[in-house]
Amino acid sequence: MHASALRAELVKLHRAPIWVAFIVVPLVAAAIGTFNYQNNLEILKLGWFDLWTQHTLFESMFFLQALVGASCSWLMRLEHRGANWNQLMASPVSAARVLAAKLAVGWLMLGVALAATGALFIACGKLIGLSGLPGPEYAQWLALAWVGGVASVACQLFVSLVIRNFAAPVGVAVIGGITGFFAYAYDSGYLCPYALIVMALNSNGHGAIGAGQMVPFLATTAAFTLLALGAAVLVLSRRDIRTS
Amino acid sequence: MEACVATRGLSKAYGKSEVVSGLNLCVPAGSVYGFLGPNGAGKTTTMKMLVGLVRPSNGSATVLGKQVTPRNRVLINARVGSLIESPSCYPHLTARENLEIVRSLRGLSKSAIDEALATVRLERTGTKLVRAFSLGMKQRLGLAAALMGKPDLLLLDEPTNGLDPAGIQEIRELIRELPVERGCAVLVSSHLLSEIDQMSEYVGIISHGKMAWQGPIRELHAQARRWLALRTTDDTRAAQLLEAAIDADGWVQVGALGDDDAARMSLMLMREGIGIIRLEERREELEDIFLKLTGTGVSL
Repeated sequence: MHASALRAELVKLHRAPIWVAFIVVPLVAAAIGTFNYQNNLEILKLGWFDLWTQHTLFESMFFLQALVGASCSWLMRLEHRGANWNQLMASPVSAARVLAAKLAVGWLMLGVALAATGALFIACGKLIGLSGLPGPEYAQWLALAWVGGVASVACQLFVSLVIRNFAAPVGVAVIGGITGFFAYAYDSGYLCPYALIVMALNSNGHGAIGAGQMVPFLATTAAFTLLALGAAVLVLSRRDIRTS
Repeated sequence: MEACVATRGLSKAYGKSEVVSGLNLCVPAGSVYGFLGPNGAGKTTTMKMLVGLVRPSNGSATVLGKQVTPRNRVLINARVGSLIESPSCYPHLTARENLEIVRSLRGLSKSAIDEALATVRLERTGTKLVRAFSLGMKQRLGLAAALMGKPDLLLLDEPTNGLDPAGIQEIRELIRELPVERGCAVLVSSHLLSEIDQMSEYVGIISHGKMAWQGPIRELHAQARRWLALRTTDDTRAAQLLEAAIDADGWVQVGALGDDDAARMSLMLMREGIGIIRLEERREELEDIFLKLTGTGVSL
Protein backbone atom coordinates (compact mmCIF):
# COMPACT_ATOMS: atom_id res chain seq x y z
CA MET A 1 0.00 0.00 0.00
CA HIS A 2 1.25 3.49 -0.75
CA ALA A 3 0.33 6.61 1.16
CA SER A 4 -2.43 8.60 -0.48
CA ALA A 5 -3.32 12.09 0.61
CA LEU A 6 -6.02 12.18 -2.09
CA ARG A 7 -7.80 9.10 -0.74
CA ALA A 8 -7.69 10.66 2.73
CA GLU A 9 -9.29 13.86 1.38
CA LEU A 10 -12.02 11.90 -0.40
CA VAL A 11 -12.96 10.11 2.84
CA LYS A 12 -13.49 13.53 4.45
CA LEU A 13 -16.23 14.26 1.88
CA HIS A 14 -18.51 11.57 3.38
CA ARG A 15 -21.58 13.20 4.88
CA ALA A 16 -19.96 16.59 4.31
CA PRO A 17 -22.50 19.33 5.10
CA ILE A 18 -21.01 21.49 2.35
CA TRP A 19 -22.80 19.35 -0.27
CA VAL A 20 -26.06 21.08 0.68
CA ALA A 21 -24.62 24.29 -0.81
CA PHE A 22 -23.89 22.42 -4.04
CA ILE A 23 -27.60 21.73 -4.44
CA VAL A 24 -28.98 25.02 -3.16
CA VAL A 25 -26.62 27.52 -4.86
CA PRO A 26 -26.92 26.26 -8.49
CA LEU A 27 -30.67 25.91 -7.91
CA VAL A 28 -30.96 29.54 -6.78
CA ALA A 29 -28.80 30.71 -9.71
CA ALA A 30 -30.93 28.71 -12.17
CA ALA A 31 -34.17 30.03 -10.63
CA ILE A 32 -33.00 33.66 -10.88
CA GLY A 33 -31.72 33.12 -14.43
CA THR A 34 -34.93 31.47 -15.60
CA PHE A 35 -37.06 34.16 -13.96
CA ASN A 36 -35.04 36.91 -15.70
CA TYR A 37 -35.29 35.11 -19.03
CA GLN A 38 -39.06 34.65 -18.75
CA ASN A 39 -39.53 38.32 -17.84
CA ASN A 40 -37.48 39.65 -20.75
CA LEU A 41 -38.71 37.51 -23.60
CA GLU A 42 -39.36 40.60 -25.74
CA ILE A 43 -35.60 41.29 -25.96
CA LEU A 44 -34.23 37.76 -25.43
CA LYS A 45 -34.96 36.05 -28.74
CA LEU A 46 -32.13 33.53 -28.98
CA GLY A 47 -33.72 30.70 -27.00
CA TRP A 48 -31.14 28.41 -25.37
CA PHE A 49 -28.29 30.93 -25.74
CA ASP A 50 -30.20 33.71 -23.96
CA LEU A 51 -31.29 31.32 -21.23
CA TRP A 52 -27.61 30.33 -20.87
CA THR A 53 -26.43 33.93 -20.43
CA GLN A 54 -29.20 34.59 -17.91
CA HIS A 55 -28.27 31.42 -15.99
CA THR A 56 -24.52 31.94 -15.99
CA LEU A 57 -24.07 35.73 -15.82
CA PHE A 58 -24.64 36.01 -12.08
CA GLU A 59 -23.54 32.47 -11.45
CA SER A 60 -20.04 33.00 -12.85
CA MET A 61 -19.73 36.37 -11.12
CA PHE A 62 -21.19 35.53 -7.68
CA PHE A 63 -22.61 32.09 -7.08
CA LEU A 64 -19.90 29.82 -8.51
CA GLN A 65 -17.15 31.93 -6.99
CA ALA A 66 -18.91 31.89 -3.62
CA LEU A 67 -19.30 28.13 -3.92
CA VAL A 68 -15.59 27.71 -4.70
CA GLY A 69 -14.82 30.00 -1.75
CA ALA A 70 -17.11 28.03 0.58
CA SER A 71 -15.80 24.62 -0.51
CA CYS A 72 -12.16 25.72 -0.08
CA SER A 73 -12.97 27.30 3.30
CA TRP A 74 -14.59 24.05 4.34
CA LEU A 75 -11.65 21.96 3.11
CA MET A 76 -9.25 24.08 5.15
CA ARG A 77 -11.56 24.44 8.15
CA LEU A 78 -11.45 20.66 8.51
CA GLU A 79 -7.79 21.05 9.46
CA HIS A 80 -8.00 24.42 11.25
CA ARG A 81 -10.33 22.80 13.81
CA GLY A 82 -8.77 21.33 16.95
CA ALA A 83 -5.40 19.70 16.41
CA ASN A 84 -6.11 18.27 12.95
CA TRP A 85 -3.15 20.02 11.35
CA ASN A 86 -0.97 18.14 13.85
CA GLN A 87 -2.13 14.75 12.62
CA LEU A 88 -1.99 15.73 8.97
CA MET A 89 1.47 17.26 9.10
CA ALA A 90 2.86 14.59 11.43
CA SER A 91 1.98 12.04 8.72
CA PRO A 92 4.54 10.85 6.20
CA VAL A 93 3.10 13.13 3.52
CA SER A 94 4.70 16.32 2.24
CA ALA A 95 2.97 19.71 2.40
CA ALA A 96 2.89 19.74 -1.41
CA ARG A 97 0.99 16.44 -1.54
CA VAL A 98 -1.45 17.54 1.17
CA LEU A 99 -2.27 20.71 -0.76
CA ALA A 100 -2.32 18.99 -4.16
CA ALA A 101 -4.88 16.54 -2.73
CA LYS A 102 -6.99 19.43 -1.44
CA LEU A 103 -6.72 21.13 -4.83
CA ALA A 104 -7.89 17.96 -6.57
CA VAL A 105 -10.87 17.63 -4.23
CA GLY A 106 -11.75 21.33 -4.52
CA TRP A 107 -11.55 20.99 -8.29
CA LEU A 108 -13.77 17.91 -8.18
CA MET A 109 -16.32 19.89 -6.15
CA LEU A 110 -16.25 22.66 -8.76
CA GLY A 111 -16.91 19.95 -11.35
CA VAL A 112 -20.01 18.87 -9.40
CA ALA A 113 -21.23 22.49 -9.29
CA LEU A 114 -20.71 22.90 -13.04
CA ALA A 115 -22.42 19.58 -13.77
CA ALA A 116 -25.36 20.78 -11.67
CA THR A 117 -25.33 24.07 -13.61
CA GLY A 118 -25.52 22.17 -16.92
CA ALA A 119 -28.25 19.83 -15.71
CA LEU A 120 -30.34 22.69 -14.29
CA PHE A 121 -29.87 24.68 -17.52
CA ILE A 122 -31.37 21.85 -19.59
CA ALA A 123 -34.09 21.13 -17.01
CA CYS A 124 -35.15 24.79 -16.80
CA GLY A 125 -35.07 25.15 -20.60
CA LYS A 126 -37.34 22.17 -21.04
CA LEU A 127 -39.56 23.36 -18.19
CA ILE A 128 -40.22 26.71 -19.87
CA GLY A 129 -40.80 24.99 -23.21
CA LEU A 130 -37.63 25.66 -25.23
CA SER A 131 -37.52 23.39 -28.24
CA GLY A 132 -34.94 20.65 -28.77
CA LEU A 133 -31.76 20.42 -26.72
CA PRO A 134 -28.85 22.89 -26.41
CA GLY A 135 -25.87 22.29 -28.70
CA PRO A 136 -22.60 20.60 -27.66
CA GLU A 137 -20.86 23.98 -27.27
CA TYR A 138 -22.48 24.47 -23.86
CA ALA A 139 -20.88 21.25 -22.58
CA GLN A 140 -17.58 22.50 -23.99
CA TRP A 141 -17.95 25.83 -22.14
CA LEU A 142 -18.71 24.01 -18.91
CA ALA A 143 -15.66 21.77 -19.39
CA LEU A 144 -13.48 24.83 -20.07
CA ALA A 145 -14.89 26.55 -16.98
CA TRP A 146 -13.91 23.48 -15.00
CA VAL A 147 -10.37 23.63 -16.41
CA GLY A 148 -10.01 27.39 -15.84
CA GLY A 149 -11.72 27.18 -12.46
CA VAL A 150 -8.79 25.24 -11.00
CA ALA A 151 -7.02 28.62 -10.72
CA SER A 152 -9.87 29.99 -8.54
CA VAL A 153 -9.73 26.84 -6.41
CA ALA A 154 -5.96 27.16 -5.93
CA CYS A 155 -6.23 30.86 -5.00
CA GLN A 156 -9.07 30.19 -2.57
CA LEU A 157 -7.17 27.33 -0.92
CA PHE A 158 -4.29 29.71 -0.33
CA VAL A 159 -6.62 32.38 1.07
CA SER A 160 -8.36 29.85 3.34
CA LEU A 161 -5.03 28.48 4.53
CA VAL A 162 -3.91 31.93 5.63
CA ILE A 163 -7.29 33.23 6.88
CA ARG A 164 -8.67 30.70 9.35
CA ASN A 165 -12.13 32.26 9.39
CA PHE A 166 -14.79 30.56 7.21
CA ALA A 167 -16.72 33.55 5.85
CA ALA A 168 -13.90 36.00 5.03
CA PRO A 169 -12.41 33.84 2.24
CA VAL A 170 -15.89 33.45 0.74
CA GLY A 171 -16.04 37.25 0.64
CA VAL A 172 -12.65 37.30 -1.08
CA ALA A 173 -13.99 34.83 -3.68
CA VAL A 174 -17.04 36.99 -4.40
CA ILE A 175 -14.90 40.13 -4.73
CA GLY A 176 -12.59 38.09 -6.95
CA GLY A 177 -15.54 37.06 -9.12
CA ILE A 178 -16.74 40.66 -9.55
CA THR A 179 -13.18 41.82 -10.28
CA GLY A 180 -12.82 38.99 -12.77
CA PHE A 181 -16.06 39.92 -14.50
CA PHE A 182 -15.00 43.53 -14.98
CA ALA A 183 -11.44 42.55 -15.90
CA TYR A 184 -12.90 40.39 -18.68
CA ALA A 185 -15.28 43.16 -19.72
CA TYR A 186 -12.26 45.49 -20.15
CA ASP A 187 -10.25 42.84 -22.05
CA SER A 188 -7.94 42.16 -19.12
CA GLY A 189 -9.35 38.79 -18.12
CA TYR A 190 -5.98 37.07 -18.22
CA LEU A 191 -4.79 39.30 -15.36
CA CYS A 192 -7.29 37.90 -12.89
CA PRO A 193 -7.57 34.20 -11.95
CA TYR A 194 -11.25 34.59 -11.10
CA ALA A 195 -11.99 35.85 -14.64
CA LEU A 196 -11.14 32.50 -16.19
CA ILE A 197 -14.49 30.93 -15.24
CA VAL A 198 -16.37 33.97 -16.61
CA MET A 199 -14.41 33.81 -19.87
CA ALA A 200 -14.87 30.07 -20.29
CA LEU A 201 -18.62 30.11 -19.67
CA ASN A 202 -19.17 32.92 -22.20
CA SER A 203 -21.69 34.17 -19.70
CA ASN A 204 -21.88 37.73 -21.02
CA GLY A 205 -22.14 36.57 -24.59
CA HIS A 206 -18.92 38.32 -25.67
CA GLY A 207 -17.82 35.18 -27.46
CA ALA A 208 -16.55 31.79 -26.47
CA ILE A 209 -12.88 30.90 -26.15
CA GLY A 210 -11.83 29.78 -29.60
CA ALA A 211 -8.97 27.55 -30.69
CA GLY A 212 -6.66 30.57 -30.98
CA GLN A 213 -7.22 31.60 -27.37
CA MET A 214 -6.80 28.11 -25.98
CA VAL A 215 -3.04 28.36 -25.39
CA PRO A 216 -3.11 31.66 -23.45
CA PHE A 217 -6.17 30.43 -21.53
CA LEU A 218 -4.48 27.18 -20.48
CA ALA A 219 -1.14 28.88 -19.82
CA THR A 220 -2.80 31.53 -17.60
CA THR A 221 -4.74 28.84 -15.76
CA ALA A 222 -1.54 26.83 -15.16
CA ALA A 223 0.42 29.93 -14.10
CA PHE A 224 -2.17 31.16 -11.52
CA THR A 225 -2.68 27.61 -10.22
CA LEU A 226 1.02 26.92 -9.74
CA LEU A 227 1.60 30.34 -8.21
CA ALA A 228 -1.18 29.95 -5.64
CA LEU A 229 -0.31 26.32 -4.90
CA GLY A 230 3.38 27.18 -4.54
CA ALA A 231 2.58 30.02 -2.13
CA ALA A 232 0.38 27.68 -0.07
CA VAL A 233 3.09 24.99 0.04
CA LEU A 234 5.59 27.60 1.16
CA VAL A 235 3.30 28.80 3.97
CA LEU A 236 2.45 25.29 5.15
CA SER A 237 5.98 23.93 5.07
CA ARG A 238 7.83 26.98 6.41
CA ARG A 239 5.48 28.22 9.11
CA ASP A 240 4.95 26.58 12.49
CA ILE A 241 1.78 24.53 12.66
CA ARG A 242 -0.78 26.41 14.74
CA THR A 243 -3.79 24.71 16.28
CA SER A 244 -6.96 26.36 17.53
CA MET B 1 22.69 3.31 25.68
CA GLU B 2 21.20 3.85 22.22
CA ALA B 3 18.91 6.87 22.02
CA CYS B 4 15.92 6.99 19.70
CA VAL B 5 15.40 10.68 20.47
CA ALA B 6 18.29 12.98 21.22
CA THR B 7 18.21 16.75 21.26
CA ARG B 8 21.10 19.12 21.66
CA GLY B 9 20.47 22.64 22.88
CA LEU B 10 16.96 22.54 21.42
CA SER B 11 15.27 25.92 21.81
CA LYS B 12 12.13 27.64 20.66
CA ALA B 13 11.33 31.29 21.08
CA TYR B 14 8.16 33.15 20.17
CA GLY B 15 9.19 36.76 19.97
CA LYS B 16 11.18 37.50 23.10
CA SER B 17 9.68 34.64 25.06
CA GLU B 18 11.73 31.43 25.01
CA VAL B 19 9.38 28.50 25.69
CA VAL B 20 12.03 25.78 25.25
CA SER B 21 15.55 26.63 26.21
CA GLY B 22 18.70 24.63 25.43
CA LEU B 23 17.00 21.27 25.95
CA ASN B 24 19.17 18.12 25.92
CA LEU B 25 16.68 15.29 25.83
CA CYS B 26 17.70 11.64 25.56
CA VAL B 27 15.06 8.95 25.12
CA PRO B 28 16.62 5.47 25.25
CA ALA B 29 15.46 3.03 22.53
CA GLY B 30 12.75 0.58 23.62
CA SER B 31 11.84 2.47 26.77
CA VAL B 32 8.96 4.47 28.16
CA TYR B 33 10.25 7.95 28.87
CA GLY B 34 8.09 10.17 31.03
CA PHE B 35 8.28 13.84 30.12
CA LEU B 36 7.16 15.61 33.22
CA GLY B 37 6.46 19.25 33.79
CA PRO B 38 3.77 21.69 34.81
CA ASN B 39 1.37 23.11 32.23
CA GLY B 40 3.17 25.56 29.97
CA ALA B 41 6.61 24.11 30.74
CA GLY B 42 7.38 23.44 27.06
CA LYS B 43 6.51 19.73 26.74
CA THR B 44 4.11 20.09 23.81
CA THR B 45 6.38 22.51 21.93
CA THR B 46 9.27 20.06 22.33
CA MET B 47 7.18 17.19 20.98
CA LYS B 48 6.03 19.34 18.08
CA MET B 49 9.64 20.10 17.21
CA LEU B 50 10.43 16.37 17.15
CA VAL B 51 7.92 15.70 14.35
CA GLY B 52 8.61 18.90 12.43
CA LEU B 53 5.39 20.73 13.30
CA VAL B 54 7.37 23.56 14.86
CA ARG B 55 10.79 24.75 13.72
CA PRO B 56 13.38 25.18 16.45
CA SER B 57 14.92 28.61 16.93
CA ASN B 58 18.17 26.96 17.94
CA GLY B 59 19.75 23.56 18.52
CA SER B 60 19.03 20.26 16.85
CA ALA B 61 17.06 17.05 17.31
CA THR B 62 17.72 13.53 16.09
CA VAL B 63 14.82 11.09 15.92
CA LEU B 64 15.38 7.41 15.10
CA GLY B 65 18.85 8.22 13.83
CA LYS B 66 17.80 11.04 11.49
CA GLN B 67 18.23 14.72 12.11
CA VAL B 68 14.88 16.53 12.17
CA THR B 69 14.88 18.83 9.14
CA PRO B 70 12.09 19.82 6.74
CA ARG B 71 13.67 17.44 4.22
CA ASN B 72 13.65 14.47 6.65
CA ARG B 73 10.20 15.14 8.10
CA VAL B 74 8.36 12.66 5.88
CA LEU B 75 10.96 9.90 6.43
CA ILE B 76 10.92 10.35 10.21
CA ASN B 77 7.16 10.59 10.49
CA ALA B 78 6.72 7.30 8.60
CA ARG B 79 8.15 5.64 11.73
CA VAL B 80 6.64 7.88 14.40
CA GLY B 81 3.08 7.84 15.76
CA SER B 82 1.91 10.86 17.67
CA LEU B 83 -0.93 12.28 19.68
CA ILE B 84 -0.03 15.89 20.35
CA GLU B 85 -2.24 18.45 22.13
CA SER B 86 -5.79 17.15 21.64
CA PRO B 87 -6.88 14.11 19.61
CA SER B 88 -7.29 14.92 15.96
CA CYS B 89 -10.64 13.93 14.49
CA TYR B 90 -13.25 14.84 11.92
CA PRO B 91 -16.57 15.02 13.80
CA HIS B 92 -18.82 14.29 10.80
CA LEU B 93 -17.17 10.90 10.30
CA THR B 94 -17.24 7.61 12.21
CA ALA B 95 -14.24 6.27 14.14
CA ARG B 96 -13.54 3.83 11.31
CA GLU B 97 -13.67 6.60 8.69
CA ASN B 98 -11.34 8.74 10.79
CA LEU B 99 -8.86 5.87 10.92
CA GLU B 100 -9.33 5.27 7.19
CA ILE B 101 -7.86 8.77 6.74
CA VAL B 102 -4.82 7.84 8.83
CA ARG B 103 -4.53 4.51 7.00
CA SER B 104 -4.53 6.33 3.65
CA LEU B 105 -1.96 8.90 4.80
CA ARG B 106 0.32 6.15 6.10
CA GLY B 107 -0.24 3.65 3.30
CA LEU B 108 -1.32 0.83 5.63
CA SER B 109 -3.39 -2.30 5.01
CA LYS B 110 -7.13 -2.39 5.86
CA SER B 111 -6.51 -4.70 8.81
CA ALA B 112 -4.59 -1.89 10.58
CA ILE B 113 -7.93 -0.15 11.32
CA ASP B 114 -9.51 -3.19 13.05
CA GLU B 115 -6.33 -3.79 14.99
CA ALA B 116 -6.14 -0.18 16.21
CA LEU B 117 -9.85 -0.05 17.12
CA ALA B 118 -9.55 -3.31 19.08
CA THR B 119 -6.44 -2.07 20.92
CA VAL B 120 -8.30 0.94 22.31
CA ARG B 121 -11.64 -0.89 22.59
CA LEU B 122 -13.56 1.24 20.12
CA GLU B 123 -14.48 -1.61 17.78
CA ARG B 124 -18.18 -1.43 18.68
CA THR B 125 -18.80 2.24 17.91
CA GLY B 126 -20.19 1.26 14.46
CA THR B 127 -21.89 4.11 12.64
CA LYS B 128 -21.79 6.52 15.59
CA LEU B 129 -20.33 9.82 14.45
CA VAL B 130 -17.32 11.16 16.32
CA ARG B 131 -19.23 14.36 17.15
CA ALA B 132 -21.29 12.21 19.53
CA PHE B 133 -18.18 10.77 21.23
CA SER B 134 -17.24 11.65 24.79
CA LEU B 135 -13.85 13.28 25.42
CA GLY B 136 -12.54 9.91 26.60
CA MET B 137 -13.68 8.16 23.41
CA LYS B 138 -12.05 10.88 21.31
CA GLN B 139 -8.86 10.39 23.30
CA ARG B 140 -8.99 6.65 22.58
CA LEU B 141 -9.51 7.41 18.90
CA GLY B 142 -6.47 9.69 18.95
CA LEU B 143 -4.45 6.90 20.54
CA ALA B 144 -5.68 4.42 17.93
CA ALA B 145 -4.55 6.80 15.19
CA ALA B 146 -1.12 7.16 16.82
CA LEU B 147 -0.73 3.39 17.17
CA MET B 148 -1.61 2.60 13.55
CA GLY B 149 1.18 1.09 11.52
CA LYS B 150 3.13 -0.07 14.58
CA PRO B 151 5.48 2.91 14.78
CA ASP B 152 8.99 2.59 16.20
CA LEU B 153 8.42 5.67 18.35
CA LEU B 154 5.27 7.04 19.92
CA LEU B 155 4.91 10.62 21.11
CA LEU B 156 1.95 10.89 23.46
CA ASP B 157 1.05 14.26 24.90
CA GLU B 158 -0.99 13.81 28.08
CA PRO B 159 -2.69 10.69 26.67
CA THR B 160 -4.95 10.00 29.67
CA ASN B 161 -6.70 13.38 29.49
CA GLY B 162 -10.47 12.94 29.67
CA LEU B 163 -10.38 9.23 30.42
CA ASP B 164 -12.24 7.67 33.34
CA PRO B 165 -10.18 5.87 36.04
CA ALA B 166 -10.61 2.46 34.38
CA GLY B 167 -9.60 3.95 31.02
CA ILE B 168 -6.56 5.63 32.58
CA GLN B 169 -5.42 2.30 34.03
CA GLU B 170 -6.01 0.55 30.71
CA ILE B 171 -4.01 3.13 28.74
CA ARG B 172 -1.17 3.08 31.29
CA GLU B 173 -0.92 -0.69 30.94
CA LEU B 174 -0.99 -0.40 27.16
CA ILE B 175 1.84 2.14 27.23
CA ARG B 176 3.89 0.00 29.62
CA GLU B 177 3.50 -3.03 27.34
CA LEU B 178 4.37 -1.26 24.08
CA PRO B 179 8.19 -1.58 24.38
CA VAL B 180 7.91 -5.29 25.24
CA GLU B 181 5.22 -6.29 22.76
CA ARG B 182 6.02 -4.03 19.83
CA GLY B 183 9.59 -2.94 20.49
CA CYS B 184 8.31 0.62 20.42
CA ALA B 185 9.80 3.48 22.43
CA VAL B 186 7.31 5.87 24.02
CA LEU B 187 7.82 9.49 24.94
CA VAL B 188 4.83 10.32 27.12
CA SER B 189 4.21 13.71 28.65
CA SER B 190 2.23 14.44 31.77
CA HIS B 191 1.96 17.03 34.48
CA LEU B 192 1.13 14.25 36.95
CA LEU B 193 4.06 12.84 38.84
CA SER B 194 2.24 9.70 39.96
CA GLU B 195 1.25 8.90 36.40
CA ILE B 196 4.81 9.12 35.12
CA ASP B 197 6.00 7.07 38.10
CA GLN B 198 3.60 4.26 37.18
CA MET B 199 4.40 4.17 33.46
CA SER B 200 8.00 5.15 32.85
CA GLU B 201 11.47 3.72 33.21
CA TYR B 202 13.08 7.06 32.45
CA VAL B 203 11.98 10.53 33.34
CA GLY B 204 12.83 14.02 32.18
CA ILE B 205 11.61 16.95 34.22
CA ILE B 206 11.12 20.18 32.32
CA SER B 207 10.46 23.48 33.97
CA HIS B 208 10.21 26.90 32.30
CA GLY B 209 11.52 25.30 29.09
CA LYS B 210 14.67 23.92 30.70
CA MET B 211 15.52 20.32 31.56
CA ALA B 212 15.72 20.22 35.33
CA TRP B 213 16.67 16.55 35.66
CA GLN B 214 16.60 13.39 33.56
CA GLY B 215 17.57 9.79 34.12
CA PRO B 216 16.20 6.40 35.16
CA ILE B 217 13.27 6.76 37.53
CA ARG B 218 14.77 4.04 39.78
CA GLU B 219 17.64 6.45 40.52
CA LEU B 220 15.12 8.77 42.05
CA HIS B 221 13.49 6.01 44.05
CA ALA B 222 16.94 4.87 45.25
CA GLN B 223 17.52 8.31 46.71
CA ALA B 224 14.36 8.15 48.76
CA ARG B 225 15.13 8.51 52.47
CA ARG B 226 13.43 5.88 54.68
CA TRP B 227 12.63 6.03 58.37
CA LEU B 228 10.46 4.49 61.05
CA ALA B 229 7.65 6.46 62.65
CA LEU B 230 6.44 5.49 66.11
CA ARG B 231 3.57 6.32 68.40
CA THR B 232 4.19 5.18 71.97
CA THR B 233 2.67 5.49 75.42
CA ASP B 234 5.39 8.08 76.23
CA ASP B 235 6.63 9.76 73.03
CA THR B 236 8.89 12.31 74.77
CA ARG B 237 10.84 9.67 76.70
CA ALA B 238 10.94 7.34 73.70
CA ALA B 239 12.45 10.16 71.63
CA GLN B 240 15.10 10.79 74.31
CA LEU B 241 16.02 7.09 74.58
CA LEU B 242 16.20 6.64 70.80
CA GLU B 243 17.85 10.05 70.25
CA ALA B 244 15.08 10.76 67.76
CA ALA B 245 13.01 13.77 66.81
CA ILE B 246 9.27 14.22 67.09
CA ASP B 247 7.61 15.53 63.91
CA ALA B 248 4.86 18.10 63.68
CA ASP B 249 2.19 15.41 63.81
CA GLY B 250 3.65 13.98 67.04
CA TRP B 251 5.31 10.91 65.53
CA VAL B 252 8.73 9.85 66.82
CA GLN B 253 11.02 9.59 63.82
CA VAL B 254 13.81 7.02 63.89
CA GLY B 255 16.26 6.53 61.03
CA ALA B 256 15.77 3.45 58.85
CA LEU B 257 16.64 0.28 60.77
CA GLY B 258 17.22 -3.33 59.75
CA ASP B 259 14.97 -6.07 61.13
CA ASP B 260 17.34 -6.93 64.02
CA ASP B 261 17.78 -3.28 65.08
CA ALA B 262 14.02 -2.73 64.92
CA ALA B 263 13.48 -5.78 67.18
CA ARG B 264 16.16 -4.52 69.63
CA MET B 265 14.52 -1.05 69.67
CA SER B 266 11.09 -2.45 70.54
CA LEU B 267 12.53 -4.67 73.30
CA MET B 268 14.45 -1.72 74.76
CA LEU B 269 11.30 0.44 74.85
CA MET B 270 9.39 -2.43 76.44
CA ARG B 271 12.08 -2.80 79.13
CA GLU B 272 11.71 0.93 79.87
CA GLY B 273 7.98 0.42 80.28
CA ILE B 274 7.05 2.24 77.06
CA GLY B 275 4.41 0.55 74.94
CA ILE B 276 4.45 0.86 71.13
CA ILE B 277 1.01 1.86 69.86
CA ARG B 278 1.89 2.30 66.16
CA LEU B 279 5.02 1.48 64.14
CA GLU B 280 5.21 2.46 60.45
CA GLU B 281 7.95 2.39 57.86
CA ARG B 282 7.93 5.64 55.90
CA ARG B 283 9.53 6.72 52.70
CA GLU B 284 10.23 10.12 51.23
CA GLU B 285 7.70 11.13 48.55
CA LEU B 286 8.97 11.21 44.98
CA GLU B 287 7.80 14.78 44.75
CA ASP B 288 10.11 15.76 47.63
CA ILE B 289 13.03 14.11 45.83
CA PHE B 290 12.23 16.06 42.68
CA LEU B 291 12.21 19.26 44.66
CA LYS B 292 15.47 18.31 46.35
CA LEU B 293 17.11 17.49 43.02
CA THR B 294 15.85 20.51 41.23
CA GLY B 295 15.89 23.06 43.98
CA THR B 296 12.71 25.04 44.22
CA GLY B 297 12.55 25.59 40.48
CA VAL B 298 10.04 22.82 39.84
CA SER B 299 6.53 23.04 41.05
CA LEU B 300 4.36 20.11 39.99
